[in-house]
Amino acid sequence: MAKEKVLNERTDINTPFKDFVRKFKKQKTALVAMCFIIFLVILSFISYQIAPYGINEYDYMAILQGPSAAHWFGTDEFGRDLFSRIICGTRISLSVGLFSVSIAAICGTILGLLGGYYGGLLDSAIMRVCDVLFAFPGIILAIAIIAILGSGMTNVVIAVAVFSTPTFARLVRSTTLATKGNVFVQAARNIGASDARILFRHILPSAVPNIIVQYTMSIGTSILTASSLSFLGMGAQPPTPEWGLLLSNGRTYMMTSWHTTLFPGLAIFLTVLAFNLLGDGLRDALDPKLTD
Amino acid sequence: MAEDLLKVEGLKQYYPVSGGLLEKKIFVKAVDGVDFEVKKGEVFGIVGESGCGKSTLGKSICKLIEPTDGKIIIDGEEIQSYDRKQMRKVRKKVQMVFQDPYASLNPRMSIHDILAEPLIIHGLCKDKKEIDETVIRLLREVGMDDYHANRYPHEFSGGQRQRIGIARALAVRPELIVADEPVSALDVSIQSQVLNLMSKLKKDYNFTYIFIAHDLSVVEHISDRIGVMYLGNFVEEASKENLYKNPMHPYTQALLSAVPIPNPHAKKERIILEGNIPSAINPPSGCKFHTRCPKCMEICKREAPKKYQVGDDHFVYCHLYDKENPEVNGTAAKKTEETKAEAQEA
Repeated sequence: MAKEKVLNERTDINTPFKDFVRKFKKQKTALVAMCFIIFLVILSFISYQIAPYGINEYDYMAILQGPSAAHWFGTDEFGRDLFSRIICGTRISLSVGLFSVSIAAICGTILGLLGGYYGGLLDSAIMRVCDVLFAFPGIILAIAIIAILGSGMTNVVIAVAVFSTPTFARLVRSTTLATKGNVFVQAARNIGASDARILFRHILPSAVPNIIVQYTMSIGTSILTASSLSFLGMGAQPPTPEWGLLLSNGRTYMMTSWHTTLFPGLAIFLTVLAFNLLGDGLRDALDPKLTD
Repeated sequence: MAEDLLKVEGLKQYYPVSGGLLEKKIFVKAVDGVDFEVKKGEVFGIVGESGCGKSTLGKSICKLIEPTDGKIIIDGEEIQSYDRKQMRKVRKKVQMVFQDPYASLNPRMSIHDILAEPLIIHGLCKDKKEIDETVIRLLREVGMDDYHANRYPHEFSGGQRQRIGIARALAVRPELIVADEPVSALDVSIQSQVLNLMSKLKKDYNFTYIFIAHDLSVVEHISDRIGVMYLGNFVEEASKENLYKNPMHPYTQALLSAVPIPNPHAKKERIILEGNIPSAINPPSGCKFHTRCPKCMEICKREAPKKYQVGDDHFVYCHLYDKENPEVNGTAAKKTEETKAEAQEA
């Protein structure tokens, strides 16, 4: 009886989530970016079905042709349709971004929580390792890791994950340190909550908004890094339709056929931009200090 | 007489303030050797000015901070060296209500989740349905409505939040509730509501309270026995009647003289203490109060006073009441007269 009343009540109350949705709806740029990302995600699932040509369909009669009705984005040096190759590349770039950043976010969050909560030697050890990783420019570190592991997309994911982890670790550690001192954490300890419960029920939720923002922003960066690695020949190997690789191929013919570099470049640019704009919008919507 | 529920012996709580490799470690002596007992079913009030260590004492008793030294005995169990796991059982007996109701509730959890947490942790309910029912019962007990369960802390006023804080403490049916200034963050009108709620709950469930406050009238309202703290030590410990009618320690006398009387024509002799409370890092030698005491003697600067019984259920930590030392006693009498004379001159 009482429970039913309780459940009915749930609809008209102001949860933190509803508050967030309301604020996020006001971020027009971020909404557009989100729509574009949703479009990309759908595209990555259906690209092989809707692509007008196969990704490895050679046509020596139509080499390096400019955009036309038959080939929207033109063709490459083997007469392959660039449009088909780019939309099929969406899946690769998105999954590299998603996987690497997910690994980084999970590892970084756990390390940050542990370091921030327990402090002491563990914290120092984690943070010094992060400092070492921070000291390298991201792409150099990724190249070093690829040099050790060998080239290939799996290793690119690992490399990108390794250099994104410290950012998450630091971010979560700082929130943990700030939240740890709160009275409600003491109150949780007072009622007998275990460390794990305090960490995941009380401290982690405060860090989640920051993690979400960092996650979105990192996807953009990691797509860019993965493409750069492929561009340098350390990531995807031909004939994979990876955007960085397409760009690298097209570079040879850039002077005569502009479309070979423009379209892969645009694809990378727009995707990264969309993730960054979405991240900005999320940050503004999740910041409790910014009320309408 | 009822048995002791809580017994504290020589409890010390030091906070390190610097500890470089080469530097000597310096400590803030927040609680510096405190002994007291709380009997089952009584309300023990602790008063003192800010920084005297009352909150620290409360937190040490609940083991929210590890005590530096001393014994904490709850229901015959020595808990001072218990680890987290062992403490979990004790936590069912001892609960704390926090000072700031705005900070003590997690803003990201609904009231239902906040109140359900202790039930889940201690396995007090079989299933979800029982938890829901218990949460609603708890809310009703503290005078709130059922539908409040699904709201979030930011939707409530300070008084309501404090009720939720009390409900959370009630969830495990504790024997001892340590209330750390539970009303000092609230409006006066709300204070009385919360105090009445606490008195009512005490009657219903026969709780034992340790009630920490800096407001003398609040403590008078609720307590049976009161301890007055100064700079990490008790200076006087007595039943409510004894303490308010017949304060013995110079500090208590000064403190009580500062309580306003609701009568503009009443003439009152105020004892004004000079100076500030000394630093707890380097507390004065002997009796810690000697730097500000209007009745300070030579012995006060050298020796810390022992606990002297001056009446039925009335103890004081002051050399003035050392009956075995007639010399001191004589001086004390003289000094008291002098101060009175000075006061009259002024």
